[in-house]
Order: sequence, then structure tokens, then C-alpha cells
Amino acid sequence: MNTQTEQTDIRPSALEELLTLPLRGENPYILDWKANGGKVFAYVCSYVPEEIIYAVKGVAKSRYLPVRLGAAGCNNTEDADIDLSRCLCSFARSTLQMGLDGAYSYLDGLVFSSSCEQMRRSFEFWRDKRHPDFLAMISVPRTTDTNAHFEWYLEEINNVRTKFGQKYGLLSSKAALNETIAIYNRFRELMLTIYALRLGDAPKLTGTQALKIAQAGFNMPKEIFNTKLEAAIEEIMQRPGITDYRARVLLAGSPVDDPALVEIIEGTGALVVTDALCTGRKFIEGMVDEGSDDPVRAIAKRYFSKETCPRMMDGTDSRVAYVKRLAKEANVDGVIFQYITFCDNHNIENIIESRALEKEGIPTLTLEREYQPKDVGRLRTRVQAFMERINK
Amino acid sequence: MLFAGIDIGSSSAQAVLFNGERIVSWASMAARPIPEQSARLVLDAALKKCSASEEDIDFCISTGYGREKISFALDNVSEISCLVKGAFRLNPNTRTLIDIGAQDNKVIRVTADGRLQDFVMNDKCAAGSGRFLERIARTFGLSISELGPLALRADQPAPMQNSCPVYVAFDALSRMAEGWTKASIALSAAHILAKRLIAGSRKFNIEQALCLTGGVAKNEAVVKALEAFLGLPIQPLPVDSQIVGALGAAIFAQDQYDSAVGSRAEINYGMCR
Repeated sequence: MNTQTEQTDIRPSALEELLTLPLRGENPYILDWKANGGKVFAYVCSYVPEEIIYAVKGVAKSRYLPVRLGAAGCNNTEDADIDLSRCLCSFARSTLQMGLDGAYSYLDGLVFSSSCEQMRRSFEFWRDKRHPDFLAMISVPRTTDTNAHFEWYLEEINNVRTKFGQKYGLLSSKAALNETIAIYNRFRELMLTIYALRLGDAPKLTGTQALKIAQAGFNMPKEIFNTKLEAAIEEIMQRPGITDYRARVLLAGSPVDDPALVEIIEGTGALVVTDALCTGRKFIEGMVDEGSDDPVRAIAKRYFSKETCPRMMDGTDSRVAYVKRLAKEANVDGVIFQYITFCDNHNIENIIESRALEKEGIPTLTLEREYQPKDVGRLRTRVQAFMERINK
Repeated sequence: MLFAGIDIGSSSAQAVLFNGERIVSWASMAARPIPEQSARLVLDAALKKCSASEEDIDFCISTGYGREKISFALDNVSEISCLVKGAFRLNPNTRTLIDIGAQDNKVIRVTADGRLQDFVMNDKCAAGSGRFLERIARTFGLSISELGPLALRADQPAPMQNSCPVYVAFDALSRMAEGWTKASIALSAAHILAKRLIAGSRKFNIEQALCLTGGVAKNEAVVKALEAFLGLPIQPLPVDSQIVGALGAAIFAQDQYDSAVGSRAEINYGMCR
């Protein structure tokens, strides 16, 4: 054990580790979790509260880890295309493909939501072809402005908890829920710090790096992630800021959980300094009330009152104001909207939001892309021309 | 002084040699699979035309989809900015620019001082682009340049809707089976292309002067359809419509050369005047 100091020296720093965390079956934290008797559940959208999964304290060592379902690196969707036509979203097809390929063999189950029709329908193929040990669906209301809709959503969340209980004989205690809430609020606070470090004239990290950190956060127990992130933030603070960028941009639109797209954008000299993504800022903004007598209700409230997804029937004005606020806060030169081909909600929302922003003199660009952006040249041409437009 | 602009598109490659005042020479050819190869061949062709050699070039900038793959270009600029630069030089009244290439359509707004104001491009799909016309020409066994004159001979367009380059061949054959002439199908294709382009450009007003660039600008039926549907005249270009992007790249080459050489160049210019 004399070599321990040496070993410590060659270990990657916390920041390095977060930036290079392997995904899925190679993720050491997921492997550890499984090796220790834990269970892993994937969820598909930010209307599935991670806390209700994380708070389940199982018998003996079986703890429950929520991870966000992603398919970064998915190269083809030929098997998924048999079930979901090529005229459907490539995120739904990519995740199903990886499911069919067995890339998520570590998963004990999945929690879907009805947020988007294409993901909702992919549920059926997961059920019939992969037979996960546990499968649940949260029906998310399409309006957020009435109490009745909130009660509906709360009931859906409680149904999933009950389903966990029926399957595994376990329910999360109030104490476990409150403990989880504290961990998750700390997670949000730290992630907001990452955003704050990108605001100044010399941002401390690129959009690609910020997204890699977020991606690590989706795939690690939050308790460990928080500790790593605290150390990483210390490291980031020591770094010189980035000044050799052409323009500051905000990224909005369809979910982005794969750094590839941001790398293409930043390859043209743009720096993504903030975002309005459900895998980014929208995922972490808004705290859950701590010390509540009814923690599940408190959790549901946070998820139901956060900035909405365009699949909601209301909230367009609020989402436009949200993007404007973030654009101003980060002092961006332009906003890049993107949507995955056939993502109706974000395609239409992009049009509405970009018109509103252009009217106020904020330049916008809208990109159509596949979940796994392969046509790099086509995207680069558009982003480069946008840079040339806003550079003046 | 000799500045080179090279535009490697998905279907054709262009080179323009510019001496700071006028186009000295230019060349255009079908693109080869490797951008570097296209660039080399088309530049050599342009150099040969004016009996110049590569050593005579002071600065070279590439554009087009292959722009990043040209080893001898000192920098690259997107084709959108190059089109603005080239078109504004040719006609300083240009405020809107429509470019129809093989794969991409662009509608570009130009500021009064010749800068890129905004642009819209087709999304992933190449519907209603040059590829679409190419497919129809191929179905008829014609070259792309024969399609425009053919369309102008039609009395009325055949009833067609599809702007997809993949399905259009089937659509054309079905119409021919119904007795529609090749000319009426070619005219319909020009109308479909123009309508799709205008629909895509609704984001902003099309202000005059309006100019049309790219290979498809050579199809007179498309030009007439665009003018009719927009109710605006399209300004004729003093050069081949396909070389505007390469010209813009050559002017960017001059700009970059001047700023690299710095104030000395400005003084020299002053003395010349």
C-alpha cells in the first residue's frame, strides 16, 4: 500500500473524469452500483422525477439509480426502423435500436412518460421485444395551469411509486425522500454554478465541456457526482477563461444529450455559453421545497412548475420570455435553434421562438438535424454562415 | 496582384482569378469526388486560360461544401457570405439573392453596405433543388441545360406536385403515360421549384434588386416562373451565374491580403490614386 500516493498522483482529476466518463455498459459507476446489488432504471424525459427512483431504499444493499436514457454513439437504426418508421424521430429510433442491441443490458427497467408521442409509442416495442423487468409510464397532462392537472400528474407519480412497491416490495420513506431532495437540490445548485462560470466575457468552459459534465450527471449517482463536481468546479475556477471565440450563442430546441452536435457548432468558432434545453438548463432550474411534510407533492410541484416543454398546450409566451432572459443573462450574440427531423413540437416551437427573438433584434439560426448528426458538412456551412452574419 | 476564389459545390467546381478590379479568368467543371482534386483541376484550368501560374496567386480562399478540404487555400468562407460578396460587387443595388445549387437552396438578404443580413436555406432534404431538375432531365435522357428551353415550349404545366428528387421520376413517367408532353412536365418542374423556393423564403420580404445565382439560374423557365410568382424582375448578371460564389471568395482573398499586408497597402493604394 506504499504505492498509494503514486496511484493518487496518476488518477485523473475530478474534472477530467467527468469530461471523459464512459457511457452505458462501460460506465464504472453503473458497474459498481450493479456489483453492489443496486438496480438501475432509465427514464426518458425531464417529466420523470429522478428523485422518486433514487429515494427507494431497498432491502440489504439494493439501491435504485435513475439514469437518463441516451443513445450517444448510436451508428445505425436498421432494426428499430422495422418497428418505428424512418419518418419518426431518430432519438426514439436510436434508443430503441440500442435497446434491441442489448446496449442497456445493465438496466432493470425503464420509466417512460407521455411527453412526446414518438417516445411514448416506442414504449410498446420496449415492452414487447425487450421485456424489461420493470416498465412504467407516466401520463403527463398537456396543461400546467390548473390544480386538477397538477393532481393528475401527482397521482401518476404516485402510481409509479406504487408499481415499484408492488414489484419489489419497497417504497421510499418520507425521510429517504427528503434526504434525496437535499442531494438533488445540491446537484442543481452546483450545475447552476457551471452555468454561472460560462457567463462572463471569458467563459471558463466550452459548451461541449459543459454538456459532457451534464451527461456525466445523468449517468452517475448524484451523491458521488456532487462530490466530483465540487472538486471539478475548484479546478475550473483555476483555469484561464476562453477568449478566442467568434461569437457567444445560446442553444435551444430538441433535447441534446450528445456532445457531437455542440462540437460541430463550436468547431466554427462559436461558443455555446448557455442553453434552453430540457437536457440542460431546464433540467436543473427550480428547487424542490425541502423539509416538506409531503415530499412527493413537493417533488411533483417542482417538475410541474419548471419551464415547460413545447409539448404543453400552454406556456409559449413564457418559453419565449425564458429564452430572452437567458440570452440577455449570458450576453449572447445569437441563438441557435435545432430540432431532430420529425420532432414536431420543437420544429414548430423553433419557428415561433425565433420569430419573436428576431423581432427584438436577436439573430437566430434554425438547424434540422438527426439525433446523431452525421451530415457534419451541411451543419457546419449553416453555422459558419451564421457566425459570418453575426460577426459583422 | 492576383486573387483566387475556389468554390467546390456538390455537383460543380468553379475557380475565379481576380486582379482586384476585374475577373481575369475563370473556369467551371463537374465536381470530382475528392474536393482537393476538383479544386486543383478547376484552378489549373482558370490559370491556363490567362497563362498564369500558381506562383502568381497572392491569396486564395475556398468556399462551397468542400471548402475545408482544400490544402492550398489559406482560409475558407461559407458560400453564403461569398455569394453576398460576389453579387454585391457585380451589382451594389442587390438586396436579395436567390441561389439554387445542386443540393442547397438559399435566399439571402443583403444590407445596403453589402453585408450578409440574414439567410434561409432548405433543411436536410434536397427537394426542389438542382438535383430535382437533374433527375427529370435524366428521365428524359436530356442534359440539364436542355430542360429550360424545353419547358419554354410548353403551353401549360402538367399537373405535378412532388418536389422530391427521388419520386419525381416516377411522377414524370406517370404524367407522360397520361399523355402530357415532356415540355409540360419540364415547365411544371420549373414551377414546383420556384414555388417551393418562395415558400421557404417567406421569413422575410424579398426586396429589390433581386439577383439569381447558381446553376439553376441558367434555366430560363425557372427564372420566368420566379419572376411571375414574385411579381418582381430578376436582375441579369454580367457574369456566369455559377461563378458568383467563387468571385466572392476571390474578393475575400483580396480583403484578407490587404489586411494582412496592413497599412502599407493602404498607403500604396493612396499613392496610386
